[in-house]
Amino acid sequence: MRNKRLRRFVVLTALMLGMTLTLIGCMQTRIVDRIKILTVLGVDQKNGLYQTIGLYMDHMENDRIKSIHGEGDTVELMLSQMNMQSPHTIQTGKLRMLVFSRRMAEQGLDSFLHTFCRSPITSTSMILAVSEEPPQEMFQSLKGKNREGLPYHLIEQNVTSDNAPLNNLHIFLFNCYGTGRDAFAPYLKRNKYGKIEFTGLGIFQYDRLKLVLDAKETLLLKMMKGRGKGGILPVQINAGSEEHVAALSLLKEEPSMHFALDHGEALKMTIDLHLIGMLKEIPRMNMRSEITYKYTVSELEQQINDNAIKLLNKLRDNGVDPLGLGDFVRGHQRSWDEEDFYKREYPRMRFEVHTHLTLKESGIGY
Amino acid sequence: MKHSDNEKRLNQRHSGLEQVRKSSDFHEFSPFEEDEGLIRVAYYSSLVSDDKVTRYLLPALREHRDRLGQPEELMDLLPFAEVMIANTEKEVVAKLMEGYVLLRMDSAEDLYVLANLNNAQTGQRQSNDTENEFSVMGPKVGFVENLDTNLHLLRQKLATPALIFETLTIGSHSNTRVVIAYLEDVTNPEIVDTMRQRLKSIDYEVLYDTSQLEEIIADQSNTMFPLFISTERVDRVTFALTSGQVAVFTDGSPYVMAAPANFLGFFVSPEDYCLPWILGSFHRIIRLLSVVFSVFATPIYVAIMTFHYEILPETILGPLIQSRIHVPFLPVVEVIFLEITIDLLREAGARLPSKIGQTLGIVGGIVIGEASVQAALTSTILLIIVALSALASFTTPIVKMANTIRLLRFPFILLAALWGGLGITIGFLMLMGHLMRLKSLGVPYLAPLYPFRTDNLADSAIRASYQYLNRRSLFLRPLTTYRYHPQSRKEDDYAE
Repeated sequence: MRNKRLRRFVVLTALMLGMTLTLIGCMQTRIVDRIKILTVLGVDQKNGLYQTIGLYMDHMENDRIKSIHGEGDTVELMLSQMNMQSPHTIQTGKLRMLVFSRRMAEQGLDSFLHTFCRSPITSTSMILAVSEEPPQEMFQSLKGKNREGLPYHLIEQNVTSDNAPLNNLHIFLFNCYGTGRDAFAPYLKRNKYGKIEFTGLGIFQYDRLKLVLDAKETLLLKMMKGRGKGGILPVQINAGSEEHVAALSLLKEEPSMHFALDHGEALKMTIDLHLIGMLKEIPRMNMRSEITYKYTVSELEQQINDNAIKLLNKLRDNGVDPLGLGDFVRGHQRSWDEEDFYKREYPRMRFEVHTHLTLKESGIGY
Repeated sequence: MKHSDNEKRLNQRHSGLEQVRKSSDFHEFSPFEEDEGLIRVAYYSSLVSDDKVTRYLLPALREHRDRLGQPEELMDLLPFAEVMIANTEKEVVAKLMEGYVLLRMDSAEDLYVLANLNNAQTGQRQSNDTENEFSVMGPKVGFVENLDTNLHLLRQKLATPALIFETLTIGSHSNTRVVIAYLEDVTNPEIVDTMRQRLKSIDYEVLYDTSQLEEIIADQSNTMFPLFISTERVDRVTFALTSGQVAVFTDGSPYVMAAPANFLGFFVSPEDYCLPWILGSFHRIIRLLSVVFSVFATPIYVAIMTFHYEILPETILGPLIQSRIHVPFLPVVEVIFLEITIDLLREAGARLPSKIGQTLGIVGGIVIGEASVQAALTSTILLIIVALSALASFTTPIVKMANTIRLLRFPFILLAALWGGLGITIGFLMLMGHLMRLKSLGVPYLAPLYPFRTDNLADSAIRASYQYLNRRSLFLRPLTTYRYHPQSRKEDDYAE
């Protein structure tokens, strides 16, 4: 009996030891201070080669931004080339931002997205952006700066303060691969002082960059996408004889869309924009008088209508649909075909925007 | 238990009066020099109060010298409460060991008169503060090493004839008195029977403390978890009895065992009932959370630092990395080093007198902590985590459970170092499996959580208001369900 128990004990121990060893073999140890955690990856494609720059924080030297460059035919080769230059393994698990150069974005991102972004370690809340010049050059100025300098902070800040629509890898992929909609991504540029600035929105047609919107258009687009809460729109105000630029600070934006067949076959898309806002830095005028108030409001509404229609026409003429109008129509039509819609119906689509503005306050700025 | 014949004979020889006479503290003399056969007095001088012998016993004997002929008459003469007549030597020896004085007459050789003159209070400590289970609110009376004092304390608190004491004797050499206490109108007789049976079946040599009994009679002895509550607080034992548990007292032990115990019961402090119920509940939740923190804080640190850096936001990750960038060891080595240091400090503090212990705490805590960070042996953040989890482990009111929780983190640290989060999960599952299998005197250890009983949740992780606490814990199967009837609740609330 003793022998039997001993044998059982030995077998059990051996089994557990075996299990332990197998499982340890499976685990990949990644001790935090012995790895390089990339936070931003900039990608450019030149002659079929990926040329990348990775930004990471150097904790040995007081948390300063450092960069590492890589080159390769595929993402994997590029990463292994980065590893060749580094005393620690490169880890992409905490990547917060992916920046493509305009050149690469115009050539198409499909192959890169298909490989890199589908890996389970890639976070889908990562921000995707397009830079005017190759990221390697753009990020040169960031070296040696502290954490604040990492460019995703500026995009996050502008999304929370509602200057730009929310965008991350998850939303990008949904817009890119979803039917009846097109993807968009923040557009970065270096300004004349050498600082990285968020200047607008790059609009994609499937995986190719087609159009770049400026800041004002970005705000209008965000307003029409809906459920926004902020943003400042420059508006023209007629005070007596002279034109004056004032700032319309928006508090709430609520669009509602509907469409109808207009004159036979062309679709007419009507967007009702309900806005609540404050008018700031107005010229010398009496906003308390009913006539002036009504006049100003209708003037502002007209301006927003015109600008919005201009933007919608621009998007239509470029054949891109970041608002998801195709998807909206699909939800209301029994027989909807993506190819058919964008080839025949979208180019002929007419737009109408009705803005309903409520001014809560007006006065000086801030 | 089987004894060989040789052992039996040895035992018999050792139990007679002959054996008793061998010891030098055994006195035997006659108070009357001229007539030694009239009466002989014998006792253990180490157990009997000399004062009582010289001031009461001897004068009484001398005064009634002419009436000392018959044992029955002698019984009436002696001015003591506990006087008895024994027939067998075995009985006599047992009584002598308890501090009785033996009176023998040549005229009646087979009858032994015994009078209780023991000096039980001698050598007992005077203070009975609750030293290890301190509370700010509520009574601070604790048990001492004397059984009679302890029973007195309990009887004073529970002045009801329903409180029953049952005395047993355990220990082949110590012959220690063990008392089972229960409330006859509350406690389920099955629980009392089980306890009595288990205690009776014990064969052991010397019983020092109630805690020893705990392990001997436990349902499952291969466990880190205490299966019975051991406490030195009178109010806690009173509470245990009124909720339908039994209490076991051991002579010479200030600790009393209450059974059956459940896991959540170990995190109840009598203080919870002295504070408003909102505060009481808050303290209890803090205690339970601190268990979780104390067991899992350092293993999670190891897992994250070794495997899962992704799950932390980089604003936290940055300082974490920076704090251990100069540490040459693996996270697990660093953690075990610090955890063992803390345990060293605790153990050293427990072995030293309290004043030196305090100094040691300061020296150990500040000097070693500061120096080991300076010397790049550990990271500052880990130091905070380890110190906090050590602090958290001291919030558990029952010392035995606190020790268990302190030990529990080590296997988790090793599992986390091997397999990261997966290891912690495996360890947690095994721990839960173990806890679910445990039973205390036949009652599931995790009750009322497993098996789940909604009736008993009012007094588990929270301490509800008194109007909802009037039901006894049903997993103890008490004879009466309600403890009292609050006036604020309607009659039909009590429908069984």
